[in-house]
Amino acid sequence: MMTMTESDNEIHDSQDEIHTLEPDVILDVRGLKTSFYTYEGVVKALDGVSVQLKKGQTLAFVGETGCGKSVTAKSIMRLVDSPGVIEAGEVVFRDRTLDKEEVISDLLKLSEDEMRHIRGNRIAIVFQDPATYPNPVFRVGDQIAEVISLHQNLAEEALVMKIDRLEETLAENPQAPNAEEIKEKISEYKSQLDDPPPPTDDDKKKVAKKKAVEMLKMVRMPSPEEIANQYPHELSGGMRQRALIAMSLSCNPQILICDEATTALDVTVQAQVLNLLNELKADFDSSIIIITHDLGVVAETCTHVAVMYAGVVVEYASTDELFSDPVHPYTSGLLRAIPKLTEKVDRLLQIKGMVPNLITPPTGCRFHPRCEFATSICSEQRPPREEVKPGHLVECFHPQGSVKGRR
Amino acid sequence: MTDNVPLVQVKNLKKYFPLTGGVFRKVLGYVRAVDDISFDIVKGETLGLVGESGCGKTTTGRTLLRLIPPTSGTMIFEGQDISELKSKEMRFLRRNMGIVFQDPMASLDPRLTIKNAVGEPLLVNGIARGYGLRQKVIELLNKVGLNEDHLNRFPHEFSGGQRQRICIARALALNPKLVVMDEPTSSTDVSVQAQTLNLMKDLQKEFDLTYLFISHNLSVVKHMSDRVAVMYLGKIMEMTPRDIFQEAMHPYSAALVSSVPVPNPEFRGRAAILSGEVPSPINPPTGCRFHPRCRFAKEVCKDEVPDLRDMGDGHLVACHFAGELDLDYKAQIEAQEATITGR
Repeated sequence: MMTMTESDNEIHDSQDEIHTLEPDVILDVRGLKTSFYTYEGVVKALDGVSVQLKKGQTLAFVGETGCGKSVTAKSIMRLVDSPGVIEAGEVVFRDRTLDKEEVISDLLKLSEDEMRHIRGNRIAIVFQDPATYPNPVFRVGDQIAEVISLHQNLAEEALVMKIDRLEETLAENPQAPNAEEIKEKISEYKSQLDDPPPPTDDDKKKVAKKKAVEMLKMVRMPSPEEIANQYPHELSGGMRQRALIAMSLSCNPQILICDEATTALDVTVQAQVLNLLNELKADFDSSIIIITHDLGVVAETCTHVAVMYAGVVVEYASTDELFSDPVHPYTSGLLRAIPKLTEKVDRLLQIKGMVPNLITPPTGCRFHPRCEFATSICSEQRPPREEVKPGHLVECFHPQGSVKGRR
Repeated sequence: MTDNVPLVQVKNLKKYFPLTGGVFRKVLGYVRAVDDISFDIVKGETLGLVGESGCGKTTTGRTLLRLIPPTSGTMIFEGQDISELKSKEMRFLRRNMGIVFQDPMASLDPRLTIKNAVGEPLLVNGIARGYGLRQKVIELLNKVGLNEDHLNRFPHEFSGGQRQRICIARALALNPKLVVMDEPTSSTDVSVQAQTLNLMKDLQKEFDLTYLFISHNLSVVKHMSDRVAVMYLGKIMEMTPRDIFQEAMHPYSAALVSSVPVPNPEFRGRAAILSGEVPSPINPPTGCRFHPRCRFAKEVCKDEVPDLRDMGDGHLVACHFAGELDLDYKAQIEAQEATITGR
């Protein structure tokens, strides 16, 4: 079990290397580079992003606007639109198939058909704005049902539903003239349970709809049957976001990506949704990636944090570690720049300057023009990724925090 | 608070927006955006106005400047009742008032250069022209951390933080006494937000400004304000010069405070989660507007609207049971404080 070495090179002859993953790691992003070819020039949105997600973790990508958080998520899902191009890197994903076998594959090398099987099914994403994402012209329940019937076979569920229905009619009226027929039918269906036949479209639709209602119940929606028959505009922002989460979780994905999922919500509703996410993670045995700019949300919900700046993960650590001992100057600056409820200061610390333009990013360390500790080496070379403490990775020549004392 | 002269007094302010429908635009009901609120703003102080979306914060700010006419109530600005003034007189009086809006891109004309945008209030009011205007604009830009090179550029050439500064410069052009800050930093990033907040504090000291600071971000409001007013469904629930985040007496403020995610993992899971969502302001609940979501609600809360009562030091609370409830978050916050100071 230590090294899972499943290859998927039947389809692509170019893919000869065998992907390896450490145990427990379900997603390993290695040296991901994404660029956007615009009229003004090439925007190097991601410049070698490497990060690992282990099973059961909640990982946060945190950073300011334009630092590449969302592009990372979209690159993982291969949803980068033109003029964006994923130029280099690997996204190694450990998939769990139905018969509990594990398949390890590089998502960037899969065909579009295979990718479609992953998207929304194995890795699901919840986007920022709940007002734009559910399709306004379809009922909420139907939209969730569509995802379910698209990605799942539902043969067994359809059969079970048929049996239940027949048993119900039998229980209602045991003296019916066709009772014998019904009993025969039930036993026939039951014998098929081990190897169910493909369901008819009609059955599939009904089962999917039923599952959709169950999903809405899962996300603590009041009166899910009613909600399933409503249109998105009839729901409030918080409920719409819940419906989207229900849709994303409906195929029991390995990874749920929340791209600023709570940013558009009020604090009291945000607290409800974050709480829900944490509960669902345990129920569904999934891992979560949360993309946010709010360090409060990170502290509240995540187990690990990757701080991004200008397309680079500058610091990666567990949440407790990062907040108690930030090592990269950008992270500590960011932490001191937020006004806090729990303390009163007269002035906030400000990071001078602005986020750089990524068409002509600064040479060397991308943070050096704004960094108070920068020296000449910072403008010449990109700092290597170092493990300053176990599990605490930093890209910086002049790490601060507790590490400084030791150097 | 320099002295206790109120610059602005608002009494029983109401703003209802009619809901019309049908062929003849019949009035079907009213959105009670602001429903009978009263407050003072003392010269030189910052009053923070905080609440969830749709609670009437922005409407309060705009009605205060008479950008939208109030339905009823009086507003007294420097001893003068401005609620009944004609628009011409109001225009003259508005020299003393500035406003910074939430979205700087939408509030700057994309076809005006910065010189024209910031200089327009000066020109319209006949304060400066020609070279004098240019000098005045440069002076204002320097105050907000921009310089002469930016004069002839257009808004799209600036970053979000810079645009917000241009808006601040424009709001300060006529040397106003009162500035309404309507969510000035909600569209900016953390590091830029820190710059903008620091700038606003510096300018307040330099020009002796009075701010009405509107935001949904409690941490920002706490950082900026001398007094904080918490709004819910068009009503002020609590107004206090004390640290609302430690001494909140209204169950709503307490719940609001505890649901703000704090950037410190040690505070995890302290949220006293409010169930449900904000009801519609078209048909607000009877009695205390918070009662359907309040875990302390009793019979009286359904029937009687609680008045704002002074609980000492000008700490006003609109709750029937103010001071009697054990909001049980104080102990938690104290424990958190201890962990911070202990570090």
